[in-house]
Amino acid sequence: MPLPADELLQGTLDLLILRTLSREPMHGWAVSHRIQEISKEALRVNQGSLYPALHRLEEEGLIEAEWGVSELGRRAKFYEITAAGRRQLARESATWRKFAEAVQLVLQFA
Amino acid sequence: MRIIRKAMHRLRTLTRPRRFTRDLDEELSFHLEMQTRWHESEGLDRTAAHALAAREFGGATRFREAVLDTRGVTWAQDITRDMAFALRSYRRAPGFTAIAVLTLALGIGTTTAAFSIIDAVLIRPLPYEKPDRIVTLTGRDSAGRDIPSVSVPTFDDWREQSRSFSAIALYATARRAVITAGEAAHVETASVSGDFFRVLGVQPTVGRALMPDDVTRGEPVVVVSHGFWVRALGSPRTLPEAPLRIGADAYRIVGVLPPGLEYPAGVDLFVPDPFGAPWRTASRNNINFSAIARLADGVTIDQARSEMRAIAARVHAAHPDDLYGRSVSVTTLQRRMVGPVESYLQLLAGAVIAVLLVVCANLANANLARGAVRGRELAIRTALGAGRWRLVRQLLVESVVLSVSGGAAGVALAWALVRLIARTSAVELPRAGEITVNGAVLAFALALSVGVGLTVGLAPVLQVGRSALAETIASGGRSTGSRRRAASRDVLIGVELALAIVLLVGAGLLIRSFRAVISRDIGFTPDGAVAAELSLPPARYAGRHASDFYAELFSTLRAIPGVSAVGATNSLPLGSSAMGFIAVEGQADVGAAAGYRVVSDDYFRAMRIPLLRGRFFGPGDDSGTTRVTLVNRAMAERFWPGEDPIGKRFKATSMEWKDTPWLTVVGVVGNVRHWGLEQDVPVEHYVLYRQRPEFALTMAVVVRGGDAATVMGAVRERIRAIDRDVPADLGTLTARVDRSLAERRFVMSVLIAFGALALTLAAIGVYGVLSFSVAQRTREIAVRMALGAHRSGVLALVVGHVLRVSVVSAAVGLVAARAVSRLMSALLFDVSPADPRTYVVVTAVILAVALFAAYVPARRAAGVDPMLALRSD
Repeated sequence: MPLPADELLQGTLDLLILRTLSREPMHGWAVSHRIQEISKEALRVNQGSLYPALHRLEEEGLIEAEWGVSELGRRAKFYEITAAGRRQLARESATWRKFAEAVQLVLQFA
Repeated sequence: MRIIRKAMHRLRTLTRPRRFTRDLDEELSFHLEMQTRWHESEGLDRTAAHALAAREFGGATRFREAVLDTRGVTWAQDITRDMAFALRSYRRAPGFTAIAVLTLALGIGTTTAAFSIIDAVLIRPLPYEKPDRIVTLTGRDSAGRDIPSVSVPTFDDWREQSRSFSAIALYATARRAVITAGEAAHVETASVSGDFFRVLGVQPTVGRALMPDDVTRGEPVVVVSHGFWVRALGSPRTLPEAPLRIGADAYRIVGVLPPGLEYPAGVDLFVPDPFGAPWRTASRNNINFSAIARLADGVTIDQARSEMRAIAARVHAAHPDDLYGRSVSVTTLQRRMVGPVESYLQLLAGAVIAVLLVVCANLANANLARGAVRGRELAIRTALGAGRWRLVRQLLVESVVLSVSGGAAGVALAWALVRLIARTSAVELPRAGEITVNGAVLAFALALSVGVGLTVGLAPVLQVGRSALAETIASGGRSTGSRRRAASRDVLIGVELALAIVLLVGAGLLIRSFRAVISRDIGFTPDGAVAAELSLPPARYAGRHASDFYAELFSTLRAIPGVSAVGATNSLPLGSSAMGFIAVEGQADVGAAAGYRVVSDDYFRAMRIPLLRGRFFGPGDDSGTTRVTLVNRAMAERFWPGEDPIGKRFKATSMEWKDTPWLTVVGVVGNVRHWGLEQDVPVEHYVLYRQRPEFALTMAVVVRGGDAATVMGAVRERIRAIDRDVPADLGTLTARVDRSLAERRFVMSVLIAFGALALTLAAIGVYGVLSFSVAQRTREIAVRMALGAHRSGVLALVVGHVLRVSVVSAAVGLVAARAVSRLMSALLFDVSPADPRTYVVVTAVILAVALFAAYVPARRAAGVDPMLALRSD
């Protein structure tokens, strides 16, 4: 049973999106597909959360959007991470790792 | 940066909504297409793949809204919708709306009017070039008191030694007779030294300002105020050829000042003056002059201050007899102008804020009540899927719509109030001419309205969060809400009552002060006398001629029917008047100060100032006979305690120019509160005008008896008949006394009005809350009564509720009032800020009003018919 990514901890979806875009610019569908693929189908991104999240991140200046031509040959909106986005990603990943380790410790020893 | 980018995004979305939606749709359809292809690649046929993709995708609409929401688009649209809804719902409740808008208008209107006054008087910079660089220089006496003026020799020393100023100037003001269009009138005139306009930095609108060489050339030239230009000259476009007659001399008009200048207060004419002899060589205690200066570039006021202190110390060391130049104060011009009224304005600000808070509390309460009634509507809307934020927003929008409407009405009220204050000039404010409802004031009113709306709207918003859905719907929206909700309503009326107490205590203390002031003995009888302040052209009336003029005038005025006495003085009580120095024969005290008044023989009879010993002046006293004087009781007690002052002698050292002859005391008269009812009686003495004709050119003639209007008409007519060129300002002495109380009366009236307003609003608040709570508890009351509760018990229930609230708020209010009263102690007279009578009376009034307001709802509660009430469910 795949977990809806948006029901994870708040901010996690943003983190996943930033991480995904940190390799190369891609459009919305590719982002959701990539997250699903990399997580071995464990995480499913609901479109209803993905696009609001993309627009919010764009508004916050963490990613930039540009219309380009997709593999289908039709117009698509490509998102690219900005320098501010990369900084945010670094910060958030560190936090997340610390958090995950902490939870892990509790689960093991508590 | 981030905020700007965000705003740009939003703006683009809002300004080009269609483009934005199209882009969004394209993005979504692309996603759908990709997903469909993905499923196809997994082996589904195109139709099935599409259906699956669409299902996974979910409702496209919801999603578009979700995106739009992040972009703040729906937000703007929803606000518009909320506003329309608010207007509709207010139209359905016209009574509530009218009262709400009215109280808001009162609260916001008075606050806005107060702001426009405070803005014009205290905040806005003076209309001069770099006004914060202009300072006044004033002396200090041995007690460290500020003396608002300086002598010419002391000023000369200051000017020569100081380096802190780029310009420094001296001036003196006087009322002078000016003749325009054949009419003689008094005009406030300033004699100014050469750098006066360089200090102020004023550019005339027509012609030029006065220059230093105007002083040296000595040609009679005059610069006129904008007001005089319009009023007296009919605002011609160019400078008139005809000279202006001031006193006996003709002055060429060389410039017109821009409008809005109010320094020195009331001055319409500016003439150059070298301040040479006799002033330059006169005593340093002749301090009828004012000094202003402009700080040089790079010099701070503190630097100027320390330089001037050092100079003043040096100058004083060289001239130890200089009583008023012991030290010097360097104060910015603005501070000097508005300082005296600051405490009044602060009190005004405090009072309007208190009233505004009462208005807010009242509306918050009304909103709470409405919110409780509307609980069902809100609950249903929540059940139908309205987000909580959505409801909160709607409530806030409703509240802001209401408060902005009230604010609009309030601006109209403020405009009317400001005009009223400017026109009646109830209180002589500096810069009163600058008070307007301008852009800054409107912006303030708008901000205030929105602020009030949000604050007041928050009350029911806090409730929305708490209300349990099912419970509210089930109860038919008739529950009284939680205990907490009822408690918050009680807190609000408690706050209103407490604020009303603070205002009423303030008003009460001022009323007591006012009564204490007016019950003081002023020393003369103002009722039934009129005064004509007149001035004789010096050239025509030099020497003895002035005495002839008065002799003729007095005899014709005495002939007016009903007139019992006619006298004259060079300084009427409650106006400015000269203090001089005396040296008493056989006493060492050289620096003793005493008021020096020049009067006619019958002045005391006309004023009804009693003779205590000796005699009044009489026909036997004349220019050639022994110099005589009358002293007031204070002077007799000060210099000859326990002795008979009659026959004692002293010299008026600063008031007699040529030689200082001995003045022999021939009588003692009653004390007059010359400086005002609130002031101490000055030590003063009177001399006869025939023995000091130099002082007789500017006199006020007092006519006792007869009907005021008739007498005033006759006085004017008779003065004209003797000399058309003699201007006279007429008024009753009663009006003069009233005017001296105007500020105190104004402040008292404002506080009474605001206190009454707060009390009324609080009473409405108590009534509203109790009516509401009785209506909501009808069922409970009915049950109680059905179970045997007595009507008196129900009555006690409601009344007890009110008593609890008002006793607690009275306690809080009294403590707050005590704290506030300390701040206004400067405005109190002869009454302690803790005056127990005031506090007791106010508390009684508050309790009585609260109970009165509770009476009707309590009766209604006691009148509940259990059968009817229970059956209606």
